[in-house]
Amino acid sequence: MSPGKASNPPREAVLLVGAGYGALKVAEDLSHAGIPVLWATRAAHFLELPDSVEPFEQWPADLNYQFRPLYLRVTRHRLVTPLTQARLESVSPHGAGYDVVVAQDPKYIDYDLCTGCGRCSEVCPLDQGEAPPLSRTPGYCPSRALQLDKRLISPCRQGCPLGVNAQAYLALTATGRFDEALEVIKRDNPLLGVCGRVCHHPCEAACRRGELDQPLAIRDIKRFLFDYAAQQGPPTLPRPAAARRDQRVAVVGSGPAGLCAAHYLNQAGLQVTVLEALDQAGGMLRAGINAFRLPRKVLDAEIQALVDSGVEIKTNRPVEDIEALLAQGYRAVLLTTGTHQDLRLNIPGEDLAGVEHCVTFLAGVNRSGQGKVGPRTVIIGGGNSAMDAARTALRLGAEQVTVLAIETEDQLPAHPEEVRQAREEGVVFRLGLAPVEFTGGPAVNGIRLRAAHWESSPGGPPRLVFDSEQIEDMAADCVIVSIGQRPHLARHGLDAQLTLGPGDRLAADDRGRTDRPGVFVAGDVVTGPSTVVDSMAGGRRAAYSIIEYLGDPAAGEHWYGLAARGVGDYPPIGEDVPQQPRQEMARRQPKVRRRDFDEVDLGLSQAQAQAEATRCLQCGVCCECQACESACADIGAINHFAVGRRHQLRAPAVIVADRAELPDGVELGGDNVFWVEADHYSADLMDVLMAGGSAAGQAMAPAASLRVESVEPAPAAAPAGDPSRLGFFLCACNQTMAPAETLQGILQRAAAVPEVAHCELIPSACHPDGADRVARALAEKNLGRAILASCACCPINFACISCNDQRTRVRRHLFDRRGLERSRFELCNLRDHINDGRLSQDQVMERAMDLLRAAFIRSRYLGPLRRGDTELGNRILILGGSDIGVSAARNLAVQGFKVRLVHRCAIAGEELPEAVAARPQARGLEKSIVQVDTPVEITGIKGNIGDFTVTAKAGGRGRRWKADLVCLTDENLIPLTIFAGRVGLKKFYRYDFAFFHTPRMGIYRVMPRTLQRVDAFRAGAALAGEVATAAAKAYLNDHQLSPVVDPLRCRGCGRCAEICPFDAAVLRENGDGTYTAEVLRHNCVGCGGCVGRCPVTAMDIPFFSNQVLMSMVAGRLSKER
Amino acid sequence: MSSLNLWGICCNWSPYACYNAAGMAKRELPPNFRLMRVMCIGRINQALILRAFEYGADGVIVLECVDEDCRYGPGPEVGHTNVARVRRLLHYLGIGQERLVEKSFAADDMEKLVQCLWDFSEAIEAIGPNPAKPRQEREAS
Repeated sequence: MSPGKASNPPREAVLLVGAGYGALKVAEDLSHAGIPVLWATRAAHFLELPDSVEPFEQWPADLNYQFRPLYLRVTRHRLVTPLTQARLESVSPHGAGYDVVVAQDPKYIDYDLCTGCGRCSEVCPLDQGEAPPLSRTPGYCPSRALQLDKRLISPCRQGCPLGVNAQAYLALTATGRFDEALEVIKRDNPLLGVCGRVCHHPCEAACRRGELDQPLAIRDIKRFLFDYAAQQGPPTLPRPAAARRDQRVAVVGSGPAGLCAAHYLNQAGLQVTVLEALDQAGGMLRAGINAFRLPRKVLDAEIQALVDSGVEIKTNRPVEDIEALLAQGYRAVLLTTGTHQDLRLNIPGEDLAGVEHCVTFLAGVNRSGQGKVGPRTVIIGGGNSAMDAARTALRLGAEQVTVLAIETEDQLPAHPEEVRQAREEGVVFRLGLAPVEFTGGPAVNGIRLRAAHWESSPGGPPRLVFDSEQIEDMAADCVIVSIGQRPHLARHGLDAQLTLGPGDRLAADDRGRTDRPGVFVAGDVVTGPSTVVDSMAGGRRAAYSIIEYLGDPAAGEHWYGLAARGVGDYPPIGEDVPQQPRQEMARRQPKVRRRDFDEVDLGLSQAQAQAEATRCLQCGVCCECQACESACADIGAINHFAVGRRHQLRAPAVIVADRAELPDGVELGGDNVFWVEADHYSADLMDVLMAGGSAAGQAMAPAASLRVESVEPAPAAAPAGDPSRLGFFLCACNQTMAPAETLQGILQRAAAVPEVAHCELIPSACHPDGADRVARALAEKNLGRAILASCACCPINFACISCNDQRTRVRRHLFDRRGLERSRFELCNLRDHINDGRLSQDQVMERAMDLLRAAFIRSRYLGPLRRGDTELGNRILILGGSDIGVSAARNLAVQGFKVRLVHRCAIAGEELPEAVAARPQARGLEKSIVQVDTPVEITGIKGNIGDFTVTAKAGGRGRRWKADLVCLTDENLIPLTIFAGRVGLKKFYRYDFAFFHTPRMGIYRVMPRTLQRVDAFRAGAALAGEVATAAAKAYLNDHQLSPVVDPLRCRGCGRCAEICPFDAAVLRENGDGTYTAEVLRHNCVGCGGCVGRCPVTAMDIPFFSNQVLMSMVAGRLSKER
Repeated sequence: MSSLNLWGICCNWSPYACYNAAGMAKRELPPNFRLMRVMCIGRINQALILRAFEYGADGVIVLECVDEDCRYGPGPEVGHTNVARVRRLLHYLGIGQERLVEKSFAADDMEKLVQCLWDFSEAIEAIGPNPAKPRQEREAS
């Protein structure tokens, strides 16, 4: 295994595009021939079929199982870089090859680590029904791993300037997980109580539920969550996770921008001091927003939470000199001083007594309870502040409150909900009117008005246009002008120290950076009067700019990258989703609430909040609540912030398994593009596989220069240890194997077994760390044998049809990566068999011990596995100069093999077929091919793979040819290797998809039916490909389960030879008329048939030895004995 | 729950794939069923089947591949022969030939395997303990 292979793909490799079985065959052949392959498909799995091939149903149902070993072999091969959900972006010719760019979608789950324990989907708050965010890979893909469906980030979250993850906290609220919901909000919003009450909720405007009925009441749910937590105790914010740094930062102003910035600076580990000019922190949250909308206890509690989390707030500290602050040791200064100067109408009479301005008025009421209005109070302006002023005036005792605005009802800048509540309380609206003069003296007693409207002017602010000359007089004994604010920097002399923009606002870029290093600005002082959440977002941006300025450029990465996250569009709104109106908060009656400053809204009940949250459509599928990430913390397979990748590659050849995966408009040309397509299109599976083999064979010629040793270099062998000391390791499968106390119980019982010298619980055996722990324990405790109870069921070096990726990984990490000795291990599958979900913990324990009994028995008889390598050279003898033979010979010659091509062959004693005799001499072949053109009688093929001797008679003369591999490409030669009654071929043909194998390893043949699938040229290429896979291995491993013969017991009866379908068991004459059986290691496939057949137990097989089987029967059936 | 011993001898390929799939799907199997795996049912000889009865199995089920699915060729045939002969022996020994059952499966026959094991369990329950078991074990079951 090469961890991180997908993140470090090769620079040069054959490119394979598309999924399906044909592509699987291509990747198998190329990788086993030692040629690196980059395999890219848009599909989520490599077995997903291209559109053009018949679906699974057309094939035998169990066929998917037959591909599992192949799939595991290929996707985990060190020369294959498998990229799923990857698109071919561009292909351009470069020399004889191509320059290729492949773009891969983000992989949120690391398939090299995922244990498939499934805890992620257990903790996921979302419905795992029809479109689950976390789903198992399909059954035919041999891995337990899960996939995460993360679409575009939901519109509500994208609509929020702070990027608060509304989808996630709605999902958590719907399932009653309020504490987790709060944690989610706090990641992006330290002032959730404030925002839960006064935010103008742009998330709701973006909510897709609005297309169906009404948007979710997102703000009200947030408010519910805050109130829910407030019942348990004061709100808290997390203490900074980052290490405390000694850098100090000053934030000037404690409004929403300043507080939010301070929070993120603090969370990044900086020492933050907030300097507030007034005697209380809060800025406009305190001065500008009424207590009946935002109760003071909420604001105070949240500011206290900030202080408790480490933010220092100093009040009564007006700042007059930025330079002096920097000189005091602050590394950066953030100005969030807001807009505190009222705009004036500049009309006659504006200075009369009784004419007030909004901020001054509200600040007086809100901060010190000071405020006086007249019986007839008129508010001028239509914004939220005007609504606040109007409703405050009512509460201060005004008999009649009129809002006077130029805008029409639709144009009013105030939030409609604010307008509605003001109306309910009795505020009168007079719209389309502009004041031109205040009359009276010394106190105001009237306003002169003219009908007017705003006219938009291109490129500038709207222009006031009067509609008529007629003047209306309106009686008023108190006027509150509420037409906007501007920064008041001159108050503390800051205006001279910084660059100002229009409207006296501070000039800065969109991330709060000014032209002075170390000085940052945010909030209304930059943007002019805006909303709470916009100011907070500005503060957060400035905070990230400061953190970046102080040396950590990645601070705001995930936040800024929000919109770019996720793959694919939102799922359509299902037709079965019923319309359902949204939940409304209870409110005090208008006539009651206008009497005092107590809060108007009463909030949603728990039932209401949960019901409302359930309405959420969960647009992004995955809500990114990250609950799964914490469940996977020990494994670390989930990363919600993974990004897509682009891979550049030089490809000597391109193989296309699915035309539909080519980018639009790309016409692939050149000699080195190969297609996995059958010649005829009633294509069945074998056609597709054959086409894959032939494409792989053709590609090997141009890719020959990339060839490397295909066999993985073996790691240094770990020390053997003392065989009398047994280690017992139990995989917890990320805490899902069984409850912790059950696992402890199993460990205790295992420790009581006399030979067990060490017991250990492994968090996960298929994780690299698991193998490392086992290896460490073996070395430290001098253990010579080990039992690993996990989901892996055997330590043998092959994948069977029950195997999966996790089990393969267990073995790969232990034996291939750590170099532990396979034959000293017993791997026992507990995970899938100890609990069917209906057992009590005691029963689970009993079941586990019963299964482990077998493991202990087996571990006592662990013996060496068969080991042996056959070295292969590169001499290839091709008998038969058919088109297939010529094609294969040329292909192999280009690949660098030493090819001898014998054109006309017959089996000894048989006539040369006419077609063969009449065959014209092939011309123009590669010079390196040694050709024999005279007719030849083959008299025998002796030896075995890597060392064949073919004897022949040519023109009356005897010939002997040595070869490592032999190919028979004429039909008349097939009887040389295939004998009647031998069925072993099926294993190769049907299960290994090696179509040219014969039961005799190293000899290949082409059956006539192959030409019904592909033409002779491509058949030859496929043959060459298969030959190259064997030849390129350079040496061949013996089957680990190959039996051994005890010559003292063998009586030479020949039953083993009779039953072996692979000619692996043969009888050798001893020279005295007696025979002894012998196992030809090259041919043996380890089934053990001969061992079962042997009447005198003279043969025995590793791992399933006679002794093991007998002891298993005895030991497991009779506990008492 | 009965303490009868149900013993399974299982080929590593199709039947084990079914058993493995049943385990992964958390299907309920007879709790007193135990399985021994070999690479191919052709590996098993008659002595081993008999040995199971000798050591106290009340029923033995031989789980093998469908004839034409054998990876190696002759496995299931060997299985048929062995089972037929052992059944005859069991009959002569008075143990009863119905205690030995042979079933074959394709790789995706998980449901069939689960059903077979329950049927097997029921059948052996109906016959009762293996009379060749030592008496104290027989009485315990």
